[in-house]
Amino acid sequence: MGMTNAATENILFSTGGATRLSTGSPVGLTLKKTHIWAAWTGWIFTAGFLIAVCPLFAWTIPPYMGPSASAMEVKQFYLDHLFQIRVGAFIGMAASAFYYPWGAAIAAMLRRVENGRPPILTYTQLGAVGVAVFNSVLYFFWMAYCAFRADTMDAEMLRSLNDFQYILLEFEVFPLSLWAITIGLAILLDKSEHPVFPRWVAWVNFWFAGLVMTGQFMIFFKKGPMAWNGLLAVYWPAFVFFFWICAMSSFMIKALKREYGVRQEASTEAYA
Amino acid sequence: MGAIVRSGVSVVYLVLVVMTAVSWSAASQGFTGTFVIMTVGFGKAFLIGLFFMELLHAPRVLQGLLGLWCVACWAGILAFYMAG
Amino acid sequence: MSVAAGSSIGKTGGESLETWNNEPKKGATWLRRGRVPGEPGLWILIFGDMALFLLLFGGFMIERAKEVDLFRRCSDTLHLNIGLVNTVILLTSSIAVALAVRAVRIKTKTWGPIFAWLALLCGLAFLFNKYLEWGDLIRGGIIPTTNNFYLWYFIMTGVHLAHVLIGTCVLVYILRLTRRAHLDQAVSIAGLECGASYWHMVDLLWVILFPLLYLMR
Repeated sequence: MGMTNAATENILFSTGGATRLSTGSPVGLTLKKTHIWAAWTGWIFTAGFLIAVCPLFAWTIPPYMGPSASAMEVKQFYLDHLFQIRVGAFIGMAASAFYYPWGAAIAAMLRRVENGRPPILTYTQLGAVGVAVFNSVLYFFWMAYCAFRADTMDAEMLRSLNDFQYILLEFEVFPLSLWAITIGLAILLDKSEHPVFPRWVAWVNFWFAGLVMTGQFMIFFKKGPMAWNGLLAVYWPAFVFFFWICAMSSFMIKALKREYGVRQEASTEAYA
Repeated sequence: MGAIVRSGVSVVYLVLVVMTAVSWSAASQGFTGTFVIMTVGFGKAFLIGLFFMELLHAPRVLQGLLGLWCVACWAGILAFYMAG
Repeated sequence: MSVAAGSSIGKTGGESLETWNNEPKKGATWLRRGRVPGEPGLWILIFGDMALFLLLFGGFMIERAKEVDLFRRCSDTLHLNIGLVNTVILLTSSIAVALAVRAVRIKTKTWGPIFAWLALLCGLAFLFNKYLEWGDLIRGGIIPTTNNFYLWYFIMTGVHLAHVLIGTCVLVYILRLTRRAHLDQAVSIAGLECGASYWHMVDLLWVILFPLLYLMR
């Protein structure tokens, strides 16, 4: 450990390659470090997503227009911003790759809470990761699709496809809420001596689960705060959602650095 | 039952009901009326937080957050009322 | 770490607002001294929920400032008396919950469940009143998309209604806890306080919604 490449080479040459390096892995890399990188994916996903949707690129958070825009207005928006929307979709798809490691990491860290019992909460979380990432990925798929041939597409059809983009962005709420409730339950039920996360982190999850719900109602409105460009459909749920992602990321980084949730101890009331 | 009911919270309850009656009967015309009903309203909210939610003996952080919320909402509502 | 039934006043709140270990942060003892009702994390939920309503109040007032006459006229069409009755109902349910918690704390057996039932009945009465009120409006042809006032009215009372619905489940949970206490079984006081605080928040929010929607001219 700590040997430079040149030093290694010298040793290899001089002893004919018979020296065994300690682990065979790149010098300095440990499982702990890798896990901490994995925990950072929440922040990376957030940054990538928000950059992809900002006015510089796709312009969907904040939305350029609303459900009451005419078909011509929608088409004009696409015609004027075709390239940047495509770049936004590209960045967004890249960002989406960082969503599932974040989710998987949380499930992995909380798995030991279920030692001694079937890991139902863990598997539920992994299932939720699939649903959520599918949603994120499909959203950027759809954005790319809308922008692919927008110049020759019929305006009404383009408006309709554009509506679906916002439905993808805002309408999947309850599956995420249940995911957060599962995480919260796992945290509250952690009765070990060194819990993975402090108890109050569960309540951050419950807060997210409850408060993001306003977005679920966007399907009923074309004007006002619950329309797909409204306060309660875009801005508030986006704030709550990305706060949750980044907060959980930070809690994980902290826990991994302090080695909480790393020891092999089963919970003290494994059959409780 | 007497031992349970005879406590501070019961008094607060009666005060809250009276405050409700006051704001209902107060003239809610114009800025004065709105000022009265909003001040009474947030006063009630503050009492509920302090006594029902038991924040009276809680860490000051929680009392501070409650107070901050009440003041921010109260000020915001009155400010926007005047701007209208 | 399991939540104790509540630290006594005067402790530096080591188990309350700290994160992992029990070291109180330096210089924060004045802010932190005291007993946290329920458990610390609950207040993230409660204040986080109140934050949403702060935005709703702001949004409502901004929309109102654009169409003051419309908002004044439409306020008149609301069922003021039902609103008033609902306010008193929620206040009553809140005191009932507070007294139920008190009954469990001072270990008077029968009264916990009785107050909890009273609270639950009040909650159901609120829901019934809401059904009457909304039903009347909708039968009169007034729906959320009728105009801006009704949009905000239905959205605000709707979001509050969602909280009442969840709160009713919480009241059932409180009832169960009081009955277990009545049967001398172990009861989590922290859990009881958490549920109670949530219901008080529901009351607190209505106490602001009522003057905002029904009384303001």
